[in-house]
Amino acid sequence: MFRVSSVPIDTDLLSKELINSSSGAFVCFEGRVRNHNEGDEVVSLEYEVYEGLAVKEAARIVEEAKEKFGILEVVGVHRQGHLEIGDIAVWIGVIAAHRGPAFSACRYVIDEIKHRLPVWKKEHYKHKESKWVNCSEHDGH
Amino acid sequence: MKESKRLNIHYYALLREKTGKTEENIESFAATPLELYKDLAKQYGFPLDFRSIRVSVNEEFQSMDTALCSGDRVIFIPPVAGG
Repeated sequence: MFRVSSVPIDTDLLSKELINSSSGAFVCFEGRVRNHNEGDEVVSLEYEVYEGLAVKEAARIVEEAKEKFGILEVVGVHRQGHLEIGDIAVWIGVIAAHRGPAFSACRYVIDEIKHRLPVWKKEHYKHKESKWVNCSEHDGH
Repeated sequence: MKESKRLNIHYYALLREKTGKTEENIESFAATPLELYKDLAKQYGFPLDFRSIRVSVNEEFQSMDTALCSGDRVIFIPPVAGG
């Protein structure tokens, strides 16, 4: 289950969605806003999400993770809107019978989310003009 | 002969800023998203090459060469940066 949120992520609440007596392992990844990127000082950022497609694509990623690693459940949330340094941008929780598949699936889900979800990030810098990450003319070539 | 189609286009991120719009309805002779993107890039001065763009048609990823139909909802997806 994956959703997009305009308000801060409540990790305690999300963890409670992953209580299952068959599960011996719970692994989570918390992506946070850091204060620098490629040598520039970042002061805050915006996430913009095409929510309809993002939720659909994330559901596919979760199904792939279940198929590949035999895990029990995944819960994920990605923020949209304005975020400050230290805010949680994305949270992925995975439960499985054992820790190996839980770690592998969590890594798989966050990696695929980064590459496949229609989510864009605009960084605001201390010393230069804000920009959409990966969207410069020379990027992606 | 090409037929004109009525398309609903939504813009996100850099493309939203370049157009100054979140969406618009247009009449277009573009047969594919690739043709449509090239038309819009010229009109609005999109800085991104079509090779770095993906497209969603009716809320599903599609090829840039897929056939467009009247009534389609088209969203061009610049390089993503989630997580």
